[in-house]
Amino acid sequence: MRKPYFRLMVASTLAVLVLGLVLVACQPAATPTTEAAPTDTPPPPVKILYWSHDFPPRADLDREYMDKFKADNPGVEIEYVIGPGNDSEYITKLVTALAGGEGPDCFTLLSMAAAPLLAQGSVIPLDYKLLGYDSQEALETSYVEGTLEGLKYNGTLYAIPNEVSIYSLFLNKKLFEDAGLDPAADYPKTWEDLRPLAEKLNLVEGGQLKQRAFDFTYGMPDDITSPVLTLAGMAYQLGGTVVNAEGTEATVNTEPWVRTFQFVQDWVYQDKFGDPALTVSNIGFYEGTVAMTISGSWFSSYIKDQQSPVYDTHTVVPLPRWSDATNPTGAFMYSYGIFINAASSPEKQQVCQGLIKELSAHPERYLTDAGLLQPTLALSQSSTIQEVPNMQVFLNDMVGTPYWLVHTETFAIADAIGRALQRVVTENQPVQEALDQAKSEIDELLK
Amino acid sequence: MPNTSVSLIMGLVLATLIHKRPWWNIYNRRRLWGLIFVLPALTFFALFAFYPMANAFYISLTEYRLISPPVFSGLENYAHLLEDQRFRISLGNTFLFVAGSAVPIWVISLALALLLAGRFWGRNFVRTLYFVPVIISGVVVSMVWRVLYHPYGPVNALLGPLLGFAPNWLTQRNLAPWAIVAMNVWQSVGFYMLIFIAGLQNIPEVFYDAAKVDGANRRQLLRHITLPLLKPTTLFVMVISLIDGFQSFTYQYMLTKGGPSDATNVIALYIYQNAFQYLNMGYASALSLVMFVIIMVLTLVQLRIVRSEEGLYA
Repeated sequence: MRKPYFRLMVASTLAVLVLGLVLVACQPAATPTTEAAPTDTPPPPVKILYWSHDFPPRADLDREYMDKFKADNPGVEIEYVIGPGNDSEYITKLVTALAGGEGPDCFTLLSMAAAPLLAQGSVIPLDYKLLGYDSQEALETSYVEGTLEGLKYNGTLYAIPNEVSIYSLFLNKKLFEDAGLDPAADYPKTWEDLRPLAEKLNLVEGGQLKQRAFDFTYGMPDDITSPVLTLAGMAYQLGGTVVNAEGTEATVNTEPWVRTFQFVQDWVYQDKFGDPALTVSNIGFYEGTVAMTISGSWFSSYIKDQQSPVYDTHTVVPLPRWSDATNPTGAFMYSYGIFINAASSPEKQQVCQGLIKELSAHPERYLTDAGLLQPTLALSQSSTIQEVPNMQVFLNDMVGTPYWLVHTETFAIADAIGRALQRVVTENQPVQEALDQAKSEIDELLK
Repeated sequence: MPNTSVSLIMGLVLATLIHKRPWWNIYNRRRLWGLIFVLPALTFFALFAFYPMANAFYISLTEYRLISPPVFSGLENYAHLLEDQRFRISLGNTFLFVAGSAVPIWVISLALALLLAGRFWGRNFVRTLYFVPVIISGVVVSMVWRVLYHPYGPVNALLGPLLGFAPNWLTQRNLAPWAIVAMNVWQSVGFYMLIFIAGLQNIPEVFYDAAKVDGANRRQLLRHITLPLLKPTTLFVMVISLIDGFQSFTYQYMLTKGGPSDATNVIALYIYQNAFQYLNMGYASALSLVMFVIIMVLTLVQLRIVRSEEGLYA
């Protein structure tokens, strides 16, 4: 290459690099944009953007009450956007939009995903006065005890739940009856009860497990129910926690966790009652090949949406407890709260508060029409909850049960436990070794 | 955009000043015009390649949780990278995937190209058949292969009797990476086959005629004419397939989500997890830059090796 051309190339490259660096230096700071100062002219119509995670049975109700809210508040417009299919994609889209300053004014979000937003002040606290309460305590006491805990950060409540969920045990009555069992009496009360039931309900044909009595979810790509919430609940029944009281050290390698994981490993390797390679348990359930599966109250609507015949033959029973459980509680709770964007204008935030009030004022309809539990005290004492099949079971399982950890590293912590589970059920790694590794990974995150 | 214009003018002035001769010199004027003509392309690259890269480098030096502004943290992310076991695992998985995919892709696509380059009835149909997987979205391919890999699915129906057991292709740690490699090879060979066919068609027929006159057999034709003259095409295939392998994301995301327990977690997926699941954008950027450097070094090494060998034939 001739030298002048080389110099020119060097010069051009330098120019482009200079340009790149200038652009980096000149990028706008990632701070929320400030709104224009109010003027004397009448305020223009307020249009808010509301994002919601995807759950088809709820969307029509949301629209109905949004229309009512708009009718009651002339000048208010609401753009209702339903996010992509699964939580992970929705959260990615939401957080990216918020980071880019294009986020919605109010939005639903999984309680465990909210911690990073809460820690960084990206959402505002709930205005309990606008919701008609004198204090946060008054608002909290209008809900079933403990059901708002996952939406609080440092003691402040940031959202009203449009769904509080807990996993209980779904049961296919027909498969029970086909095996000569009485679903009302023979359902498993303890984890230990699952083994004799598996002996009766599992069907093996040509070496293949054609029907399973029960199977865990193992965090496989098709899973719609988190195994970590179940396992944390099982360990909690034996007195186990995820982290110590100070939140400085993981406790996932303690005896309650070891016993829980050992049970799951034995289920797969020793007893061969389940298999992570097979169709995931929830799908197997509505396909009619799994007699019992663990899921939330929303799963009934989901089965109905899949037009599965199992919808007519299913029931829900309490999550099994250990025979020697110290805490007779269920799987860890989670919820979807409606949060308000801190970067939105005060007018929009106020409209969002009003909309939240409207959307949270109809827990009966959300329960009967969408199968979603908004656990107000009034609802829990109403006849409606008795009329909706199985709902009392979920509500009972919530009593005394904690929420999954509200922590900025919540997903990474859950992933560490999930990976330990997969090592245990797909590699047959010794349980203690797998959990020691999980503890070390979580400790690193807690630093 | 004013910043862009100013930077471009600065660049031009810089380019002119570095060159010591007067700018009105006919050669320099010609070069200057050349530079002006490439400016649109340079601007495009500056905006969509250099700027994001410079920005990623800046972010990699910060603690950036996506929602709040980045806070400068020096080389902390890079230091963490050295201690991160999951990074080492995903890096190892990435190399395994690249190495496992690349060699079969090169060999099979070249073999197919040699087979299908000749003239025979139905040639275009067969070529199209091999190319069809390329035009199918990676997501769709993943969904189809997930069904194929089901414990009671077609793959086990075929292989089960031979093996004497039914492997769990996607949930067994030792099998899942290879299951994804096989799928990648299946989808990719059609594309590289086409590149090789184009390369083969560029070899003048007279070389073969001359060699045949000299008594060369088919093997000798392949060894002494086809393969040497296919070197530029081979280099292209090698570079592109390696880069493509290092960037693999869709299959792992769709089929296993990196599991079981990180057995199929590759760098691109690990970057995604850090950026969008754990909201650790600073660390994700550091990972991206390391990945960039790895690909860059490997590409340069490949170029160096192939060019030095080219010299042997010059």
